[in-house]
Amino acid sequence: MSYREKIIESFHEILEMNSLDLLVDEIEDDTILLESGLDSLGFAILVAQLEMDLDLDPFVLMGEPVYPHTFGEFVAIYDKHL
Amino acid sequence: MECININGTKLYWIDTPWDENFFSLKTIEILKIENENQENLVKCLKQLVAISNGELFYGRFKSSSQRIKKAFYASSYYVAEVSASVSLFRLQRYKLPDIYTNRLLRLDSLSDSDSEYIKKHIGESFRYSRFHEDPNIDDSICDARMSGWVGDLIQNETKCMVYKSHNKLHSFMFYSISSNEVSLILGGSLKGSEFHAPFFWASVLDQFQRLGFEKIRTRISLSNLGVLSLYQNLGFKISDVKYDYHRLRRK
Repeated sequence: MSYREKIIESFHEILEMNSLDLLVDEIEDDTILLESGLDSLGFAILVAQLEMDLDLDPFVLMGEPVYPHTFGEFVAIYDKHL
Repeated sequence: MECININGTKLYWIDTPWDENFFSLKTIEILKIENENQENLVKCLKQLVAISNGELFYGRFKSSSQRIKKAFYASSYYVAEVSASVSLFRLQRYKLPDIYTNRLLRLDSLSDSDSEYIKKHIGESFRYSRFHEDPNIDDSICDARMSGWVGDLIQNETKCMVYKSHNKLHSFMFYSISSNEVSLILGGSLKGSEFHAPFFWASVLDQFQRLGFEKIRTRISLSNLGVLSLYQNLGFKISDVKYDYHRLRRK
């Protein structure tokens, strides 16, 4: 499974765990993160979940974290720190 | 604070000129009701209209009181907002959830330029408040009131923590302290910085824990599910649910 697929899988798991609905038909690179259905807490949980699954938290590695606007930017941050 | 007393039912109220400035209406806040009796309370509310010359009346009261609810509804009030108190006790024995522990942010105190930045942008960031949720009040007026409130907090030298990175202010928290208890007055992450919010809140709790406080409390709108989830995730307990009753008296 690619990093991108893993992120999408975790994304859906956290939506389900928090009884949230996906607000777009499909998660695409240009999906605005905060319009996708996950709120800021959901993304905090997603980042923590991905750290456990991938052994990587790129936002901690940044020092001063810059948070992405779109799903494509979110994946790119993980790609960059591989 | 003034009081109307009808057969032992007491209704306490004040003029709120700080709100009047923004709404261009004479605003009255009902602060307290003692010895709830539905019939007497209806009479108190009628007398309040007669003596105050108010145009916008509002007051938060416990949602569980049917007597209060019936009296307000019978007096042409409607519920604009439902809020709850959220509290965290025994902070010195509290442990932050794991998702936050490695991701705490470095907090700063408020500078003059931060103050101006918050005043300018706060209106874009809040959609939930006792006035934002009133369908009879225009959002732009509520935004201006929010900005004015921040101005008052700054003028009164209210304590504030902020998070900044890359020369940009992302999040702020105004608070007050009484004994070993902290009251969170107004906090948020500005538009575009929402991702910082959970880590900022956790960092604020961490800071208060380090400073030796035992209790933290605040009041939130229950319509704001994002903030409600955040407080629940951080371990806060919910109590004291209140309806904010409003009446707009058009002249």
